[in-house]
Amino acid sequence: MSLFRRTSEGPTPLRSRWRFLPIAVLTAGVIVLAAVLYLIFVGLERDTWQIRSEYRDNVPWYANQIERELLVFVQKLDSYHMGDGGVTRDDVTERFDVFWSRIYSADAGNVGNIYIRFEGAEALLDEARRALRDIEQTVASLKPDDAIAHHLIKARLEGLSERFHRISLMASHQQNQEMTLHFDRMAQAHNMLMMIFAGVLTGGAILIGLILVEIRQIGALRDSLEQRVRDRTRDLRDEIAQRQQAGEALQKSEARFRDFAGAASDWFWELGPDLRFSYLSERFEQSTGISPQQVLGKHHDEVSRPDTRDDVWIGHVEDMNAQRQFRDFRLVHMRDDGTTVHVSLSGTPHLDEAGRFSGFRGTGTNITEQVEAERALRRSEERYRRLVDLSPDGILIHAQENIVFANPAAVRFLGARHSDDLIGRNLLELIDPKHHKATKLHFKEILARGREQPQIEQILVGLDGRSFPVHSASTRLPREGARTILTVFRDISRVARIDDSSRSAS
Amino acid sequence: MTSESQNMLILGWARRIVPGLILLVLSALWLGAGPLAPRPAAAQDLGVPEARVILTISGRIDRTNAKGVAEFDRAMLEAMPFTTIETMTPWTDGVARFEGPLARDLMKRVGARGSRLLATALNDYAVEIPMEDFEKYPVILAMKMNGKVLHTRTKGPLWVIYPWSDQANLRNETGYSRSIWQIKELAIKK
Repeated sequence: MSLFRRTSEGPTPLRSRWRFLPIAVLTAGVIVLAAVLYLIFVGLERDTWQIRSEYRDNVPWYANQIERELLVFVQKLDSYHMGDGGVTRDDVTERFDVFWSRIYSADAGNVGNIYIRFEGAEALLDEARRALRDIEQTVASLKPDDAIAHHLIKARLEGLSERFHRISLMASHQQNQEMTLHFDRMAQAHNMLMMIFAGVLTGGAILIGLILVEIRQIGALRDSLEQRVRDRTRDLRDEIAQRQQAGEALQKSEARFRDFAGAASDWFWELGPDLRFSYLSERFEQSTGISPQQVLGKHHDEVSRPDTRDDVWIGHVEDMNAQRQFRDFRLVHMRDDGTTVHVSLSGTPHLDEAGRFSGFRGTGTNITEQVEAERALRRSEERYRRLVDLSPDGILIHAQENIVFANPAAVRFLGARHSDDLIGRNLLELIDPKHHKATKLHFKEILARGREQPQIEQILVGLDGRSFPVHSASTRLPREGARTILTVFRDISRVARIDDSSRSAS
Repeated sequence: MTSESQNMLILGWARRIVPGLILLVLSALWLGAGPLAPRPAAAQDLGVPEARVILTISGRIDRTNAKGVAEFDRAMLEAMPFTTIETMTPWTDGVARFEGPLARDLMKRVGARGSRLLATALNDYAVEIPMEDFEKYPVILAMKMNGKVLHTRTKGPLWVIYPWSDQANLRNETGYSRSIWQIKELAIKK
């Protein structure tokens, strides 16, 4: 049995309802016990007070004294008459006066009021007072040998003694009855107190036993709770350690991400669900020179001037509307000073906790220098292409002796109609077989040493069968391939004919 | 004999007699302080009753006016300062006004040296009263009640009255039992 409900398992409504029942029962018991004890002690106090009143008033003694004074007076009277004991008339009158005082004050005061209520007491006192007044003069003038006076006095008092004695007995009897009643009630109260005392002792012992059991159970519960607390503390410590490790890993991951993102991009940006810029990191302005206030809250097409008919732009709009990830979408921002900034944006859609689309997040990179470099490269390529196309010398690019490029001069010299007639063809097919060996050695030197070799003279054979001498110079193009070689050749047949003519003329 | 020789003779006699006279006078004084000297006159302090004796105090007292006792008639007691107590008693109706000498004054007057006294009434009822009651409370030997002299027929001539109405702790059987009336004798005990 448990005095108190366990709380570790959580109170149920039923338990909550009866939770304070033991305390309520104990409280009610204590109140009832206190009330009973109060009533008992009030009764005891009342009986004690009444017993003390009985002793204090001592009405039986009071009544007995009246009777006794009468008897003593009569005794003195007889002794005076008989001449015994040296009793004088003063002694007789003194006893008469004492008896007189008893009779005349018998009904006075609290004690007298009790005395007078006894049956016949009032009439007896009246009778005694009349008798005393009747014999007063006789007593005052009484002589020892006055037998008649003596007889008259005694005759007048005759019968009073028995009546006073009867009242004295009534007073004693009544006091005995009342005392018996008081003592019976006190005995009952005493017995009840003993029973209560025994009950309290028994109940106290039971309560102490229950409390000891409860203390033991609470101790066990406390040990269990302490164990749970220790386990939970250990779990929490482990969890904290894990979280700390996870946090450190997260910090490392974030740092790594920042490093990667920073290396791959210049700034971060966010678009809201309305596809307007809602966030730009600080580096945006540093990188582009454009104030974020010019961009935030605007669409892509408001911060740049796209060609809405461009396929790239149309594809980008479709990606965004379809909430698809996009990469390297290029925009051109206008600065306040009229200059432009080329940026590359990569983004991915993000969702809120409810899974709803909430915009795009991504990175941006200033690619202005890259765009300008590309443009410059394209311009340079154009210039070189034109230079190659307009060159009077034949230019061939061949990999492992297979031709991959031929400029118009080479096409023309080698009797082809189009460069495609030459591309894919083995260069050795266009060289006089007498020079094959020297040519292969020459190309090998070029590939091995990696630098230009002195011009050589060769005899080329065109597709039309025409052979003509050329001066050629070759160099390796490492960026085009491991064995790619650029060869520039010049038809020297006209020079050779001039030389032959000069020698003939001379 | 010349006058000068006569003078010398007288001086010689004087020198012999004077020391003896001095010794004689001192002896007489020493003896006179004993049985021959008059004792303190206690009777003269208390006075001597001239009427019927109503109270006799005996026992351990320093002052007497009779054979080992102090006797008082009404006049002697009425000559002492009276103290008034208004109180209810179990034997009188309503509040009664009692007058009489303080018991402690009477004890001082007779030089009482006891711790208790035994009071005896005319009807030989006797009760013992601690002397400390007289010091703690203004207990009187009442000689008048409601202005009337107390006689034997009205519980006089002397009635021990405590201030019951003023002292609740006296309103018990012990306190009332010491209220003895018609006193005739007080015996001072150790």
